[in-house]
Amino acid sequence: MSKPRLRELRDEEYRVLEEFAEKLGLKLSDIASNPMALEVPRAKYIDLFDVPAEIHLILRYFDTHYSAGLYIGYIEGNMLKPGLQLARKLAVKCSREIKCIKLTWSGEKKFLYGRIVRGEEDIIEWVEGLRVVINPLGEPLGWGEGIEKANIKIVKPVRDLGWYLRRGG
Amino acid sequence: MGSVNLDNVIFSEYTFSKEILDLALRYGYEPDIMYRYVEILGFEGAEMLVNSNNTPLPETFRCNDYLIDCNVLVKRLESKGFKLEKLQLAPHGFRVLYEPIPIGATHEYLLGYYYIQDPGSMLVVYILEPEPGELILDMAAAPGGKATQILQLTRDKARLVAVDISRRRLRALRSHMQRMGFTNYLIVKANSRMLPEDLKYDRVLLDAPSSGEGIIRKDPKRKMRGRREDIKRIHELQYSLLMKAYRLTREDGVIVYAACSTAVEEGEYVINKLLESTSNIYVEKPKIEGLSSGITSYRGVEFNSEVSKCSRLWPHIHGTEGFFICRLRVSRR
Repeated sequence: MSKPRLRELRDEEYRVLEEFAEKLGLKLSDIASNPMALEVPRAKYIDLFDVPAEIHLILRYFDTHYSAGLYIGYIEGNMLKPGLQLARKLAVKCSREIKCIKLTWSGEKKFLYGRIVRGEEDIIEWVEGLRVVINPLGEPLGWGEGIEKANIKIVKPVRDLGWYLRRGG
Repeated sequence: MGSVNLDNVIFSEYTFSKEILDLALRYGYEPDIMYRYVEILGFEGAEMLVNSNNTPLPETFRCNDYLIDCNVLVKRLESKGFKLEKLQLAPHGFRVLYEPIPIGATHEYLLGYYYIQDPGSMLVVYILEPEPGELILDMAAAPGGKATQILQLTRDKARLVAVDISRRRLRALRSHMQRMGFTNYLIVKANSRMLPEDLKYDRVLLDAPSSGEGIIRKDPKRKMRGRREDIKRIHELQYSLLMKAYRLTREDGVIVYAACSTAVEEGEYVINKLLESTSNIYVEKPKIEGLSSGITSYRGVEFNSEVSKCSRLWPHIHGTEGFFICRLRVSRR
């Protein structure tokens, strides 16, 4: 059986990444400069990494790869499910280049427990759709989805930092 | 004496005196461990060591100054009720004197601002002295304490190849790399002894699989392990890994060999074997002061005098876990 290996992106994978960047108001190059896919036999999704050029040069010495560079997220179907490391990278662009969701300290606490956040007490800035979520200091907390239901704005956690603990290491 | 003959001496059957057996019984140790303690430290030293081993190792962490100023981190944690103390031996290390919640469950931890790590383990990477731009191999990298420290000290500018054989532990390694904000690495799931030798590294870190005799303070169950035949098996694995590290290191490159153990068989004797079987490698004394020297005589065998430049951490002297660390330079000197 072949082993997991990093490879160049296929055209359709590039398109998924480009569409994701566009939805955030960014270019593909803002997301990744050298995106690669981890080809895992029989996997249901494809992990994407932004692999630094100097690491790219040494990939050929190994017959298998487990992980490298910045974790962008994974493609399932034709959707990118963004990862936490990408949220960290993009958080510095919040306010200036992209619209992000900003939570209060109490909102941060709920969000990091994987709970839905709602109301002025917990949300400082709200935007509709899948967004980077930050705390009052601009620190990245993960990805959340801004949803409006019956005139109530909520933030639904998609991938929050608490996941590092919940997954157990 | 050849290395095979030395094996016959180093791993020959132990003869237990009544005093050793009494000491082992009194402190609840496997007699083989107590034999080794007494052989190295004498009765008085051995008793000091086992008394220290009864004191649990305090929780310590390494501040990740790649993401946050350590003074800011300390203020943030103190404002949440933590009481902290700076570690003497490790520039980024802190001891947790009081924790209102587990130190591994704060938002600062999730943000990647620190890594929970024992002081001896931190010291290994300071002794490696990684530099930006270098190609560095971590041969037993998971769960990632030393691998993340290498990238922290080089501001994510070293090219790190982090290898481990355990899938479960690799998941943790990957998480820590991501959590702590590092990108200049490749993680490979492999047996390090099978790595390709056409790629040579500037520095190689081998924190070898060990008996764990050095972390009895953390895991008291280890008092009843460490039988002579197990130590021999571990020694053979460590030696084969170190030989591989040697073959993977470029000329003038550095190897740091470490083992979380106080057993000479896992420390000085592994280094002695390498020195006796190669001609172009020597030991460099670390710049860090206050460490104990390597042991040069054991069970009647005199080792190559170079091993005295290796370093040891002792629970009863340094207040840490027991650790053996040795920095080697490959050279045509």
